[in-house]
Amino acid sequence: MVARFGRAFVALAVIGCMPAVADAKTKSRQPSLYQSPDSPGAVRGVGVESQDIVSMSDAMMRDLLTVPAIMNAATAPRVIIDSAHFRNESSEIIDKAMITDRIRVLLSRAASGRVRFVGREYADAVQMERDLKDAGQVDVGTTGRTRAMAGADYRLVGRIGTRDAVDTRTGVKERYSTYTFELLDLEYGDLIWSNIYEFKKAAQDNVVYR
Amino acid sequence: MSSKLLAGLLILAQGAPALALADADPAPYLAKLDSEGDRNRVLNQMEIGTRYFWSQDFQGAGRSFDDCIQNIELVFLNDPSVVKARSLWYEEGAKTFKGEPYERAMVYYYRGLVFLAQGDYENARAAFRQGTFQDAFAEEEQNQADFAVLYFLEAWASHLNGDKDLRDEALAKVHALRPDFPGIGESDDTLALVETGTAPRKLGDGLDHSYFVFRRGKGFTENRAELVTAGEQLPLYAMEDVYRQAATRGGREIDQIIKGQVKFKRAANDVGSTLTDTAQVVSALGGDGTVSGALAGVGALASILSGKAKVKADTRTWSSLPDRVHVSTFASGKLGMQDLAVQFLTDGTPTDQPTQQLITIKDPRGRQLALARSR
Repeated sequence: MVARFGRAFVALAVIGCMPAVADAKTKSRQPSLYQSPDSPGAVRGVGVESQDIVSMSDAMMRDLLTVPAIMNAATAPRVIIDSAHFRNESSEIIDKAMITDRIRVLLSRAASGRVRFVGREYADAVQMERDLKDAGQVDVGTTGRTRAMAGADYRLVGRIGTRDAVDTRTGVKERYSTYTFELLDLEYGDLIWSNIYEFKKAAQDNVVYR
Repeated sequence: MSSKLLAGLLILAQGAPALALADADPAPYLAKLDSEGDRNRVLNQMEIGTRYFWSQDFQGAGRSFDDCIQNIELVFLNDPSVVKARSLWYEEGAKTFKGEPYERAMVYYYRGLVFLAQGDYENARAAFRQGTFQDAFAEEEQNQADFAVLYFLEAWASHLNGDKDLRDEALAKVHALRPDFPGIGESDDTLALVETGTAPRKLGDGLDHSYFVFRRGKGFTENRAELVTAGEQLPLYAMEDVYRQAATRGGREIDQIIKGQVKFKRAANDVGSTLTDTAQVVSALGGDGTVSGALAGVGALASILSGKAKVKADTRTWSSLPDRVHVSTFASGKLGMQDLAVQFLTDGTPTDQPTQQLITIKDPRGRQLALARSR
C-alpha cells in the first residue's frame, strides 16, 4: 500500500516538475493599443519618454507666452524655433525635433498671430520657389514679392545634458537629465528668456541581467 | 572587353573589395526573428543589424539596433522569462536574451557608427556614451567602463560636431586606457575603422555546463591591420580587444543563483542514491517490504528532482562580432581615398589574406567613414 502510494507520489512529482511548454511561437500577441502620450508607457527605463516630451514642451510653451518681448511687441516678432541650435550633449539618443516642433506648434496656436514663426529649416524650398519666380518660370503668386526672405528677431537655442550613474553593487542605474531652453536675440546676442526642465530617473534591472 | 569585366579586373588588380561578413545574408535570422519570438529577439536583431551594417544598409541596421536598445533598456523586474531563469526547473537560457555587457556595449557601438554614417554626430556620441555604461557592471573595478573604443568614438563624434571641449574630455579617458594612442588631428575628417577576427565564444563548463568560460574566436590569426595607399603603409591603432572585454568582466550575479541550484542538484542526487541503496540493503536483509518500498520511493523522487533541476548557464552568443577593432583618423586630402586598402597582419607579419579596399561612406555633412572587416 505504502509502495503503491509512493509510486503515485513519484508520478505526481514528475508531472509537477515537468517544465511548462515555453514556446515563443505559441505566445499570444496583443493587438496594438492607443495610449495617451502624456501617460507613462509600459517601457520603463532611465531615458526620456513621451510624457517627458509632452510635459517639457507644454511647460516651455506656457512660459514663452509670458515673455513681454514676444507677446507684447507692437509688431509681431519673428522667431525661429527648430532643432538646429538645440544641442544634444547628453547620453540620450533623441530626436530633438520632437521637442522643438511641439513647442513651435503649441506656441503658434496659442499666440494667435502675435508671433511670426520663420521656417528657416525650409529655406531651401523658399529659395527654390523664389528662383523660379525670378526666372519667370512661375508667376509671383498672390502675396507679391519681397526683397529677401524673412529675417528673424529671436531663435530658440538650448542644450540637453545628462549625468549617468551606476551602482555596480545593486545594478541601479540613475540618469539626471536637464533640458535648457533659451531665446536668443539674433541682433544683440543676449538671451531674453531662459527656462530649464529637469528630471531624474532610476531603474534596476533583474538580477539575471547583472 | 565589357565594362563589367574590366571593372572586375581592376578590382582584382587593386585587391578585393571591402569584405562584408562571411555569411552576410540576414535572411536566416529574419526567419528566426519570427519563429523564436521575444526570447531571442535581441540576439537575432544583433545578428541582423551586423549584417545590414556590413552590407551598408544603414537604415536597416539602425532599425535592428534600435530594437535591440529598446529591449536592452527595458526593465524586466517580474517578467515570466526572468522568473523562469531564476527557477530550479529552467535553464538560465529561458530568460529573454539581452546579451552580456560586452555584447550590449557593442550594440551601442554599431548604433553609433550608423549615426556617424548618417551625419548625426550628437546621437552617435550619445550612443557611444550609453555603450560605456553597459560596461560599468564588470565585477572587477579596474575593468569597469574600460571600453576604449567607445570613448574614442565619443571623442570622434564630438570632434566632427565641433565640440572640442567634449572631444578632449573623451580623449583624456582614451589616453588613460591607451597611453600610446596618438590622438585626433585638428583637420582630420575621416575615420578608418577595421575589424579583425571572429566573436568571443562562450563555452559551457562544470556540472551540466552550469557556468561558461570565454574563449577567443576560432579560425583566424590576424590581430593587427594597416592601411595601404600608394605603396605606403600607415598604421592602424589596435584600439579594442573585444575578447578581452568579454573575458575580464568577472562573475555574474546569476552565477551565484546557479551555484545554489547546482548544490541542490548534487544534494538531491546524493540523497536519492543513498536512499535507494538503503532500500536495497533493507530488502536484502529480509526487512519489512513496506519500509524498503518507501525508502526506494523517496529515493527515486530525490533522484528525479535532481534530474529535473536545470543548471545550465546561458551560452547564447552574438556570433558576428569581431575579435578586435583598429582605428585611424586622418585628413582625407592627404590620402588618396580611391586607393585606400587594408592589409591584415599577425604580430606584424602580413597574413596570406588579400589586401582589401575599404568601404568609404561620405556622410551628409561631408565627413568620411572608411570601413573594412577581415572575416
